[in-house]
Amino acid sequence: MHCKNRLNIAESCEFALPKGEIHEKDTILWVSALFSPNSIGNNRRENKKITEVRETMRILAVDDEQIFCDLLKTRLKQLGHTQVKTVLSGPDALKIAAAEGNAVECFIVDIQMKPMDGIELVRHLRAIPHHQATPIVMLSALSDKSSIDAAFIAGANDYITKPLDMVELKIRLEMARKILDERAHAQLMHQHLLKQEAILYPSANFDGEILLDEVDGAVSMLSMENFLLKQGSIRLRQSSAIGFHMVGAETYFEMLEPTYYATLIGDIAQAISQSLSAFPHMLVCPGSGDIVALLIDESNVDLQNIRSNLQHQLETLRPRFTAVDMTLPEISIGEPVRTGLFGKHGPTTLVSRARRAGQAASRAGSNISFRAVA
Amino acid sequence: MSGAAAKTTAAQGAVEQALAGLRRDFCKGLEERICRIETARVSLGAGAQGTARALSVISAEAHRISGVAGSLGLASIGDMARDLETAIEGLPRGVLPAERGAELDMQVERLLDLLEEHLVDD
Repeated sequence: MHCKNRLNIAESCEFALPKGEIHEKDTILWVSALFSPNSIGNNRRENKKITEVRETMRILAVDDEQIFCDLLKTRLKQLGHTQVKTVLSGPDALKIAAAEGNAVECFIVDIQMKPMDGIELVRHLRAIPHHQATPIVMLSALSDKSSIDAAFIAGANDYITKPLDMVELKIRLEMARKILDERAHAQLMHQHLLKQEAILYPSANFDGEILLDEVDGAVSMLSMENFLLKQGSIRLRQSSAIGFHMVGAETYFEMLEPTYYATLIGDIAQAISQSLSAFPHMLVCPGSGDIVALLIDESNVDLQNIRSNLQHQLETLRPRFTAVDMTLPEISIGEPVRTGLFGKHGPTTLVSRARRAGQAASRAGSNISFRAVA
Repeated sequence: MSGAAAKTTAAQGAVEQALAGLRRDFCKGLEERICRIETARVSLGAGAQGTARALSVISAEAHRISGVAGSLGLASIGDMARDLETAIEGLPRGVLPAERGAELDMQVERLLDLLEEHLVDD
């Protein structure tokens, strides 16, 4: 599997990166500021440049109602977003997305359109390499719950309900900008890692989130929390989260270069995703060798079945490990966790509780074990 | 009034003006929407295929009206259109049971009346 996972080690960064066009010069400036103790805090002008934050994004909005497009443009302008393009169909959006490369920094996509609906458009957008991580905010009617789930699974990051509310629009776009920031950090580090992996290796963060751009159903922590927060408590109660833990992850992390470690996590996440293909699901990799799957609208999970599916999927990785004389990692699966209707656990604790369950299973030694053939 | 406050007021005024223009455009376009719904409404009950197609057209139009009207501050139209869309979504896929026919037709009628009230001349 070709995996282009990115290490998100931005948590170790002391600066906010400039948004928008990021040039090589900026990368070097930022990285050298990070890793050269002499440069940190000594150059006000450079630090100012690094912390400069652009407030607006280049937005492409897609809705098959011309009046709604015009309205959205007016409202976005009111919020300070002046670089907004609108199109009336998915195919038109794809033309712009493909032709203009990274020029689009955020998509706003209506779910219910014809002939190509918003969910299909999201799938196509995510297939464009430079838009695998671009924030996508869906527009939907309140009644579109199942479509919203499908949009998240296809790769959307958030949604706004119609009729349009200015406060909601503002909050959702701030969230999109946050995602953009997060991705910009990760991208910069990824670019630099490819060039100077050896120098950066000690700084890679084992506890940090890994963004699994090419894994089916994978989203960022921010997107998943966003999704969880938007679910009603009754509906959320019907969903389950399962924590998976790679046993001895830290040893693999220390043994491998960061990009290879991220690829390993990506391969395992893909195997997990495939083993859950019967359920609508999302995945996150919050760090420390943990992977959490959210099974949407699935409260009765047959763990034994998932276990055997995962075993089968992981076996397909064996030749790759054998080829490099490595042992296939053991994976533990935690008991599924859910939110109680009146419980003390909020929706966003679901991920941390699932992580703990995965780690507990690891400590209990109930791991799926795969040993490379000697 | 300070310079900044005057600027904000002017910007707000421009937005209000733009929104009023969009509301006008929406109301001008209502005639076409009414026609589409009316045409589909005729096919309700005209065979399984015709009914299914009519329900799909009315539901899609109600969905579009609901999203736009509500966002333009025309809440009564938005709400009524959404209720109609929800009612159609609640039906068995593409089927209009006989006992629901009159009720749904009444709902369509009420929406059409409301849309007509908002019609403006070009």
